[in-house]
Amino acid sequence: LPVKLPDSSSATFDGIIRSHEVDFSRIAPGPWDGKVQSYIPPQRLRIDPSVQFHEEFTQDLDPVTYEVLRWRFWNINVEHNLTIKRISNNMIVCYMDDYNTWLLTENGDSLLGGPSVQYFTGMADLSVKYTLEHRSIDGGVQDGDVFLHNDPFIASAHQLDVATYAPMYWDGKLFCWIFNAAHQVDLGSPTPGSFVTDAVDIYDEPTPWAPIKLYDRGVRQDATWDAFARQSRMPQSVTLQLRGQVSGINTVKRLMTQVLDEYGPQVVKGVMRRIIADASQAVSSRLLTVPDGRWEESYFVGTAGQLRRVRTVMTKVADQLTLTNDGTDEQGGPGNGTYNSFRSGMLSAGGAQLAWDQMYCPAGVLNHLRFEPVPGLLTTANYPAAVTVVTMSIVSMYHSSQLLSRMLESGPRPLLARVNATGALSSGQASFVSGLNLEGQFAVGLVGDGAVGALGAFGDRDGTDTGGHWWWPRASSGNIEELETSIGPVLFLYRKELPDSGGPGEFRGGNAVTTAFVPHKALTLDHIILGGDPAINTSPGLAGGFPGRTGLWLGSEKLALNGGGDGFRLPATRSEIDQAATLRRIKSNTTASLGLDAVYVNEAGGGAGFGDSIERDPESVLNDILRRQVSVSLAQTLYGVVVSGDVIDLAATDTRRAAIRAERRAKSDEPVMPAPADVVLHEVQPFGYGIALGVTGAGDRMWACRRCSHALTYASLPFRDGCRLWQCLPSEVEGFYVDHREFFPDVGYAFRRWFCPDCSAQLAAEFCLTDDPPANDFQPLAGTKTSATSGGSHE
Amino acid sequence: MSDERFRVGVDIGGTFTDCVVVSSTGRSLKGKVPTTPEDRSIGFFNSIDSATHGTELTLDAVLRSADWIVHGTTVGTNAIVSLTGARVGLLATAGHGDCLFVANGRGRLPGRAPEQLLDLVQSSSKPAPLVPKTMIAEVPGRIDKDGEVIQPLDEARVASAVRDLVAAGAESIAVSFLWSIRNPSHEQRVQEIVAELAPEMFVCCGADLVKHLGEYERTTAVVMNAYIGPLMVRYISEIEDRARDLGYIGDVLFAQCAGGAISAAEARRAPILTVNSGPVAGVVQSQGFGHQIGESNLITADMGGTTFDVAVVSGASNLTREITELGGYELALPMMDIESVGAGGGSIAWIDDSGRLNVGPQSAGAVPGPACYGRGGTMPTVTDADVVLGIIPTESYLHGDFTIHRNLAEESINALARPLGISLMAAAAGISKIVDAKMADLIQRMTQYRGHDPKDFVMVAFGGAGPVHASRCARDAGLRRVVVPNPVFAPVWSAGGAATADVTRVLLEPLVAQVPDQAGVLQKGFEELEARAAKAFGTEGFNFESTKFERYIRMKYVAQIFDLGIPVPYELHTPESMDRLLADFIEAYLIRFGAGSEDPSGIIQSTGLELRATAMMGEAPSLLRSSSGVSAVPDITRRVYWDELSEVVETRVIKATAGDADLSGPIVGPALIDFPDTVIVVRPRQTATSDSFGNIFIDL
Repeated sequence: LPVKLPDSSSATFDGIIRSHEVDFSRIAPGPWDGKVQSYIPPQRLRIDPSVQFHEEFTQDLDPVTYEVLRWRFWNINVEHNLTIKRISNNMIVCYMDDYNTWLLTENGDSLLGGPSVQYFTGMADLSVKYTLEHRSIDGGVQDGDVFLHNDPFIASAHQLDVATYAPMYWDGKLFCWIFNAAHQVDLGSPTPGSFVTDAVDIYDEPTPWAPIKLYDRGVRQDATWDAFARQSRMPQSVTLQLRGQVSGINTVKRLMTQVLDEYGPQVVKGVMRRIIADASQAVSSRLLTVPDGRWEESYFVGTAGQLRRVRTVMTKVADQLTLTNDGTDEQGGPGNGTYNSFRSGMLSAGGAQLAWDQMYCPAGVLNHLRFEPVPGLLTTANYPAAVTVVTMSIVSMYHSSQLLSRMLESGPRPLLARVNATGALSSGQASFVSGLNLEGQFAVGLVGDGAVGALGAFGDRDGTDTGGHWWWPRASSGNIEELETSIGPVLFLYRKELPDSGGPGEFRGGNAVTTAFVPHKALTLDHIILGGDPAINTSPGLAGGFPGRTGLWLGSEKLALNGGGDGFRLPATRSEIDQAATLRRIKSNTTASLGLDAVYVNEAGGGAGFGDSIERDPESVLNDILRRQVSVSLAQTLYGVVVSGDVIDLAATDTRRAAIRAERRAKSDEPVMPAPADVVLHEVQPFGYGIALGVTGAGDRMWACRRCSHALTYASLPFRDGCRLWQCLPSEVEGFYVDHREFFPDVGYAFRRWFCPDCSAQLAAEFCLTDDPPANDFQPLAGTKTSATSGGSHE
Repeated sequence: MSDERFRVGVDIGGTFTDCVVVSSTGRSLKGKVPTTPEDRSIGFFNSIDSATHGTELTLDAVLRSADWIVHGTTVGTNAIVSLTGARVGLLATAGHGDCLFVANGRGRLPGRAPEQLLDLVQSSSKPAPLVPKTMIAEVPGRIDKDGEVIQPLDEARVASAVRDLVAAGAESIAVSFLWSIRNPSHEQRVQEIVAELAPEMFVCCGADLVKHLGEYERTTAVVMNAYIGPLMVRYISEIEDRARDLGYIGDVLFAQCAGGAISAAEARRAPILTVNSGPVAGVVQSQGFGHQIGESNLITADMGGTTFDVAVVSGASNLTREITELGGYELALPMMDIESVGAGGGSIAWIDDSGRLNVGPQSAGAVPGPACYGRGGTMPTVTDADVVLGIIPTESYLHGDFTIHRNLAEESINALARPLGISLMAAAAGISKIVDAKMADLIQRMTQYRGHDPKDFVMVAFGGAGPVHASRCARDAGLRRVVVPNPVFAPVWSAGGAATADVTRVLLEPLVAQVPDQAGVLQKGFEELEARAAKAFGTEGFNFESTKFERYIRMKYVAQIFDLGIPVPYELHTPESMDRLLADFIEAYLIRFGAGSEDPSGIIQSTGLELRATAMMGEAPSLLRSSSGVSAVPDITRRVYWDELSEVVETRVIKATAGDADLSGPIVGPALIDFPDTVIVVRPRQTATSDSFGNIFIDL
């Protein structure tokens, strides 16, 4: 382990989870029962005594058996995963991997999940615990049962993610749970595909089903199957996918039976518990290398003419993280999230950034998380909020990863490598086309850009252009040829990487994708656009890195083409389209029907940058230019690198970078609370990538610029109070961000850059409302040591 | 002058170049020499020369009397993996030149095992580009999904683009346009223009190479083909020229990734077909071997230094897959379906942050290799564990090229055992057991999880480390029997596969047709493919006796996504034949995906045709002949730790120092059968027997 765990560690050493994810005394009164407020399990589940648990296990495991069985469980779960995909006929599952599978202990501790979409991660344990609590009465949980539910207020991102799950019994006792959830193709509602972009509340959406049995003691409940499929436009597909899910469960039962026969229940359960214990200890030891503190992440989602603030505050003490969404805007409109989504984001990010070598073991991660949800907010909405557009579930993934990254900036190098600024499409931007071809056949399908994604920059390297998403291992947009065959009557003019879309930084954010398509051999064609407006919700940067460039949905009713003769040319670039059409912006969460001569363009926002862009190695910038990832002009404006041909002009680069620093000084305001001019700091230690903490001769702790050690302000204040501030309209940032005012005319939306008053290093860069107080995203807890003294440093 | 005729197979691997010579008179020879990376053709002929040692033959004599030389080569694969191929210029459809970069959004993780995904999904990057964006020219011209030309090809732009690419240093040109599989005219016209402007240029087109729907995988294939094209053309000429100088008058053939061999001309046109051909030749050799021993359901298990490669050979389905991974890219290429896990003799054992004992996937490779080789390696490996356990003898192993240092093996394993708080022997046994479990998991994934009953399968174990670990991993995976082909030839098994390969063409054609309604469409489709294959064989000028066609239809339920390749060893003219096709499909579907997995709507369609055409060159001489050699060395014993017995046991060792093994009756385990370059392990309660060909059977 990175550090020896102290006696005070809250890690579990036997795999039994004894702490609880919520301290009910610190949150709004309930009931948190999944009726109005989301379900949160009580510390002690209220389970009917008719349920007999198989709880005994041995801790006396030899290391070889443990390793063999650990991977056996993984392989069995992978087979569970593949079984569903083979049987389903749903492209969203089969190509985009929008589903996942889990194995849980008898009491619903989530042991491991599969390598599919991770935003389901918080779903499995909540569902099982709810079912134990609410369905066990009078022998309601039995061997041979299979349950179904899709209630977001119990545990689901939206109604389309349908869970099936079953208890597995051994020697007459409930031994473990097998769980899966998969996106269904359509479950009714006024909108085909059931993403209801204009939903006011859940009554405009498919009905959520609380846990109900598909099988009762092995007997198929035909009425349930029929009723569930009946609500869909595609009932056969719904039934087929459910059969795949049940088949997956049966596969696991068969394979687990072999394992239990071979090794016996006590060893098998012992391995399960040790997987949890190992994960918990790994998370604990990693957290202990990071100083205690309070971190905050806040950003905006633009929808329906409003900017909606999403905020999470995380406090770390020793090896425990406490999270609250206090300060997030109230629920409303489409795309709300429930408690399940809020915790799923942090469970998944915790898996990737603290338990990457532990199969993400959710229970081991959860042992170190405490949630303080505020009911009725966008990210923890109450019934009957609308949820199908699923925006907050995606936001929660990136928001959580970004927040953890801010904390891990202060950690040792292995953790710095896990620091990841937000990637592209971070508020769930996606689009469908639907239409009739010339034969009158209807088709609907995803355009796929959402799956292309891009990774934001890391704490030690660049992000990845069109690199997918960290939480979606097997996403695929599909080939253009596949899309033109299957999603509807369209012809793609282009799909290419979008240079300059990645956020500038010392490490550059990944560039995103741009596509353009036209109706082709179509009788009708609609473009259905989901998620936050890409002009607003960019990907926030870290450590002074720029947010990713904003995106655009565009369209025109008329693309002027000159017949099919030799002089005829289909546009293949944005500028060629601009010569043949007048593009206008399209709002998110709308259905655009621009006719059969239309053209549609998507320019996705890019991944965010890390660190000050004028600190980027000029050679790296030159390579970016040569690889057509960054334009010569952006290199000059935001990176301060001047090239001549394929050579860096070093003198001009020095001059340009000096000019940028001078401009930063000239255009920024004085710090509101600067450190005294003559202060000298001692014991300067890093706290984050660009900033540090030091101690004055009088014993006061102060923030400092890590680059030049200049004292900024007192540590009890936001470090921004000691920085110079340059605030402007987003569109004034060297043309890097689009003008938001067309769709958000009455919103005071601004871009802020914070500089060291001495060396002008860019220490933070963010979007905000014009009159927001300075963000306070880093705050050490009183008396905490910094990373260098607590076990690690990235220097 | 002797009438003896030869077939020669040469397989160049990363460390060794293997050769097998099979003779019309019944003898088989093998050679093994170090690979010569600076000029692999040197090792090529050295290996043939090496096979003649100890006989009256010479290199020249063999070549003068050889009917075939079939070569499995890693030249192309190595160039791709090490990024040392040609500077490629790519011509792409305007607006779609970035498809290799976008990679459908999944460019970071192709080929990664599921168990690596969660870690790598955040931390991995894309592979280095095979073609920089500056060498990609987008040209106007658009065909739609129906094959209709929506926009004519701009030939003037093509010409200027070609000139620009040549001026920028292009050494080869790849052409890949959208929907060329529906209408290849634009690609073909570009090829003509390139031929006019740069007659010496290596040029290839997507649809000409592979009829795969999906421009990313097709473009990858054609770019890789162009990437290794110039290199392979040179290499092929070097081999041919030198062989001719030595008196060989026949054709040099090349083993291909879909099994069988292709002509040198085809290898020049489509060198990408030669990648991974070595392991594939081993599988093909096993297939023929299966017929010889009367087993049709085989698991082929090739355990080398770094990976454990498994293929399932079963009559129930075809063996090729359309998409494979190479160098971090996905490419469309009909290739034999071989799966790997990072478990080999060189796999490193290590303790992770949680104090757990892990084995692989990192390998010590050939250099420095396991600690026991004494070449500077200190990390404990599977081979070190086998040495500590007493399974691998210290006196002679791997041709005796290395002295095995038991003390170094112990030292390395002890470094693991101490922090784990277990004994040296327990640590070694643990490493061995974990690696066997990984291999067993892979076999289970490929058998049980795909609907096969493992008990119906026999493992054919080859490769240097295969026979060492086969008996336990096969047992743990539920198999009933292991066969180690005559251990004289098991270590050169792939070269043997090359020596006995036939000329083969695998043709794919996307074809959507309703089954059973459109029997005529399917039949006609096959007839066209067969005509194409026959024409190709004819133009290549082989003197073949007959042509064998094996037909497969890829089929699925209309509503479902995944298809299966169904063998169709019959004509499709009659309603009865279509009924049989439907029944075969449903049976295969239920086996593969489980009872209840079928779509009740019941509408079934084809998605494509696959034709495997083989030019039959007369019966290949068998690699394995009745054994004449009898092990003359008396049995000895060795102290071996057996996990099943939890103790060190003085174990019987049959030394087969030369020639073939004749066990003269069943050997009850625990026992070891030592060969110069491998050890066959018979675990407790297992029984080994041999047949007259020197093959060793272990009943589990």
